[in-house]
Amino acid sequence: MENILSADKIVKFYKTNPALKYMSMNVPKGAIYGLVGKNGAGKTTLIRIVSGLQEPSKGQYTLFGINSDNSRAIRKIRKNMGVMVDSPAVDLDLTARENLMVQYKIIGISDYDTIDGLLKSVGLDAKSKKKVKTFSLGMRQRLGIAMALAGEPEFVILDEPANGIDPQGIIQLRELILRLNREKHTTFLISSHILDELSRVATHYGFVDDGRMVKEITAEELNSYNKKCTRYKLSDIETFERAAKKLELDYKVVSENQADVFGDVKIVDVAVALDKENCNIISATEHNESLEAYYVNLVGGERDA
Amino acid sequence: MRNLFVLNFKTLKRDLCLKIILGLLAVALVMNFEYLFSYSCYSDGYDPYWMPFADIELFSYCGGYLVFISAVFSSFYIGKGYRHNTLRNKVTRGLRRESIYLSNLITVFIVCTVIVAVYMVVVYLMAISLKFGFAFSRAEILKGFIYSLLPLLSLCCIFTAISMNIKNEVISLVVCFAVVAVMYFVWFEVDWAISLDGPTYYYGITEAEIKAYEFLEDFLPVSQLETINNRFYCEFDSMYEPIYQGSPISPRIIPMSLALSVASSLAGILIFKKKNIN
Repeated sequence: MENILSADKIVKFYKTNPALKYMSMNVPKGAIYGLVGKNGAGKTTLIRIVSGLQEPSKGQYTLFGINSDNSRAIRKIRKNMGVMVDSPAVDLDLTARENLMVQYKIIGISDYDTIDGLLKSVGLDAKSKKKVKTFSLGMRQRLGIAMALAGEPEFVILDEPANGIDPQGIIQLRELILRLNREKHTTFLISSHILDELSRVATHYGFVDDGRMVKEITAEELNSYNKKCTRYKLSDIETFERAAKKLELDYKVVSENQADVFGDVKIVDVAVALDKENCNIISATEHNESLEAYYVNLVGGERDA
Repeated sequence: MRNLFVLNFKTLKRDLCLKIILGLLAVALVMNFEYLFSYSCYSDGYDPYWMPFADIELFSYCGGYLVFISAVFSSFYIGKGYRHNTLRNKVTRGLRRESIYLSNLITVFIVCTVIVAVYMVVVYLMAISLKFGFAFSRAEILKGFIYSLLPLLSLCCIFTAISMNIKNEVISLVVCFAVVAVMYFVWFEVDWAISLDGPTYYYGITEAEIKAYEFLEDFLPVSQLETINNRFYCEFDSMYEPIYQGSPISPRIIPMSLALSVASSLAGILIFKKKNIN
């Protein structure tokens, strides 16, 4: 598959501190690439370099097939790339609509007809004439995403896009990403700490630790690696454990009233067995722990992604 | 770059630092009016036919005000790009860093020029309405204004180089003021040395040193501004004839201002091109 972005052994030093240590990555065209790693692992530094905000100390990357050494060509190709790094880059003295007009002007688009649709897609259509300084963090984040999506770029980089966004907004954002990926074949590179949310959209993953790419894997490969899991909320966890042992279930108790059951086990079978032991199931949901578990196994240590 | 320049002016009307600069302009004009008004009242009381000259008031912006507003405006206007992170949007969408830099420089220079022009026009109208006269012709005044734009250009280039390369606008302003303080210190020293009136046996200043001091006097933007300001200082003698106090403006300030502007801009662009933007 053709790569929209390939990084080859990128090294980045801040004074004498290495932030990236021979980082390599490949983002296939049309993918939703999830970048996962601890705080300070080098995700944002990598994004800054790829976005042209910073120069690598060593190494190179190709963007849309153009090598980073060809600075003139790569600069021109950036018009086709939308970026939101770290925090939203918006002028607080302007309204949401004016910010997008400025962004359109930067890209070189003189037709502002699509601005309203863009604002609507991020849920800011009702606030388009309000000054951004009156916006909450979540609303600024939404506007930052709209700015990154301005001009329908082929490649969009979002660094922690769900920061400060309410649950409804996160669902809206997820649907927007999936829709753009499906309909416009937009490639996304998303760095996020919300692994559960990331696992709902990503088609590829890159696991970063201590300035290095530890592993790149597709969502299919990840799913085949991990066991499926159903999370049960129960009335009595001890009774559940007794019943689970009798049924020879592969399970893990996660809290005083919750347990995960791995593998393809019918909920009806579990419910019947628990009923016999006078234990009630309050709820049962498919829980996607696969990404989190994979990450912890890969990187080790605490779950600080 | 044209697009960026237009963009800068479109967003400028909402810019807080422009409002601050306009506020500073209003304060300066009120102070000037208060001075002219009290001076006219005082003078009229003694001699109804006496009409003082207001040429120097037209150029009073050269005495520190211009330095102050250009430092404040460049620091806060350019610093806003870092504070709001809007600089990122330009870089990540593939705009040339040189274009971003130069469009900011031109914006700062034009805003300061317009502020100074407004200042001069308002002071001129105030002076006329208060029955002040002008010893210099309009052509001379216009020439003085155009000359004053040269040190302004140098200052804008220096302040832009500082502001584009320091992310924090307050630190940037402090550095700008520190540079101004050094320039004023050198100018005071130079002015004092030159005022000794050539090589003197008392202070042991050689001809070569005098030449170096004269070079600095013509080279530094603050001393250029002071020279222009002094040029328009004029008084009446007992026969109501004007006595021009200042010496003519040296044409050397043209190449020197341009050289300083180009050098500081090149240095600023080179640093900015390699700068890590967060």
